[in-house]
Amino acid sequence: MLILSLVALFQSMARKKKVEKTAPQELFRWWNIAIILAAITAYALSLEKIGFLINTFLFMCLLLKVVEPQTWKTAIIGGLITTLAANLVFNVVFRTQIPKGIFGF
Amino acid sequence: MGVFNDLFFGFHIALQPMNLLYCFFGVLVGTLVGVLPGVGPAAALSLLLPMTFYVPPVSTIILLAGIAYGAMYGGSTTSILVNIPGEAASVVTCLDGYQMARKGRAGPALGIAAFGSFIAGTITIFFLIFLAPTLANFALKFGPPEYFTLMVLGLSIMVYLARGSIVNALIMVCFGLILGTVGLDPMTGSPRFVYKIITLMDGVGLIQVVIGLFGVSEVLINVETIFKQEIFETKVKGLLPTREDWRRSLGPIGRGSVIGFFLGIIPGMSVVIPTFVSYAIEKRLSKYPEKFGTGMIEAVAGPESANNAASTGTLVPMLSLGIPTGAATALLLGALMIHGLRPGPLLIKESPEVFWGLVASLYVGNAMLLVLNLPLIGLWVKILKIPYHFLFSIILLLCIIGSYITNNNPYDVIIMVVFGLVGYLMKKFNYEAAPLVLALVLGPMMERAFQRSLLLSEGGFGIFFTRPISASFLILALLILLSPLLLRKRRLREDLRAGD
Repeated sequence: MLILSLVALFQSMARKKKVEKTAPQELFRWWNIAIILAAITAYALSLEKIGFLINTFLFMCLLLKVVEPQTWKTAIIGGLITTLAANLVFNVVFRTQIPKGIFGF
Repeated sequence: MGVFNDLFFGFHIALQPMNLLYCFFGVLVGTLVGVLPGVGPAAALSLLLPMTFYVPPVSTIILLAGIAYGAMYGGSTTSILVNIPGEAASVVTCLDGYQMARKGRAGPALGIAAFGSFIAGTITIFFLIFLAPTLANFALKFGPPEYFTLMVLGLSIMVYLARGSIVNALIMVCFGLILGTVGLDPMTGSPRFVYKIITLMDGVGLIQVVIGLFGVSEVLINVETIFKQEIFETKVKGLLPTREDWRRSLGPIGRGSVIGFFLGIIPGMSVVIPTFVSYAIEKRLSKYPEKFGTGMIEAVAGPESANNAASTGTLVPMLSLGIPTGAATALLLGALMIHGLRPGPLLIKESPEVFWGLVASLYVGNAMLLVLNLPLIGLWVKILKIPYHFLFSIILLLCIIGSYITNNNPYDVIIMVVFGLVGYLMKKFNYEAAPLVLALVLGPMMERAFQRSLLLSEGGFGIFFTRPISASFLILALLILLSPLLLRKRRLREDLRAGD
């Protein structure tokens, strides 16, 4: 079955090449995508060391500040509110086990 | 009177306070998801799925099903008021619904959409009650070869109905099947495509893939360009449709329900195509087809009923055969399996509380939605005004948490990121995600059925062709896949897409 699906894959890729069309590339903000992907990766890798609260706060600040630039005030307050809300929902209501990290919270 | 006893039993379960609460929460989230463009029911289901590990199975399925059909209500609100379809299933509603709103008839449009959905929901639950157990009894005769070929047929139909090119959909199915083989071989236990990465031993997680494909990638698409939000102020008054509106809408609602339900059963139809079919039929039957597109109430009532009916219809194969037909039901099925239930023809007999509880909760949920939607329309429109930079940050956070707490494994988040990127590229190059998800779910099931059939036949492939039911499934699948090549015309598909 695996071989069959691989054959089908290559066959269709070959067919696809014939009808290839080029999409006009407009100016697009690729760096936003890179930042978001990098931020999520960093979040995931550091989650068990730094802990949920600090990590979430930093993550939200970064997203709010960089991707669609806000003032520092909006970013920090927004980060704080979402962190506390997420903590309430996941740790208090659903009692999921999200790691606490080295600082103990 | 067995059915009524069972139904009574179902209501007994659905009306327990906790289940009522979950049902309410489900339809509330569903409506919210329906209102917000960029967050579909599939993403919402996969985000909430990990949070239901601590919840009993019946409540889980009630909650998740509530999201799926709640989204159908929410989508219509934004289509009518601001001409932005919250979901693909409400695209058709924009055509006449928004025109009605511009003529000052937003109230009746919203009203008939909600009532139509409600009526469709209640009618189709009856179909579900009678059809699902019958189908399940029939499916008891199926052995592994029949199951395998049935799933092949399901995937073929899915490919045939894909919105993009058939080749792209076929690639997606193959990609999904290959992803489904990652992990330990179910029969021999030997690791495949694992590369000594422990996270991959269990296979590629469905939840992470779906969150990546439907959640993260949608955000990426949106942040790539400057997101414009234009909200038009519309006054909503007089939600109750007039007697004249009712007279014109009853036919479309009835037809929409029947069409939606039966098309919803077919794999790959999902909830979008039935709305187009319903619109086309209403246009053809109408005495004034030229007026469609200028605010005809029939064109709102029909499709809105059809999408709700279809979301009930998709439950039929999932509950009676254990075979999902789209991304949303694939996740529902995943939820059942996580809770240790065995989906398949025996589900209704083995866990009647799940089936009848769900059926009864559909009634309850539809009634809740009616109450919830009509007075709260103002609130939903306000939610649309939340700036997108807050929205997407919160969505991303939920994506991360959702994929992390499935196994408490940070590397699951990395899988999600990878599929976020993959999904983003797929969207850019017109590949649909739904066939991939379906294939990923069906892949391991197909493999098990395949290996069991070969055990039965002691290694001979003839078993798939000599058993009558399985042979006819295969022939059908082949015909479906080859028909576009043979016919060249693809009239049906074109018609469906044009909605005409």
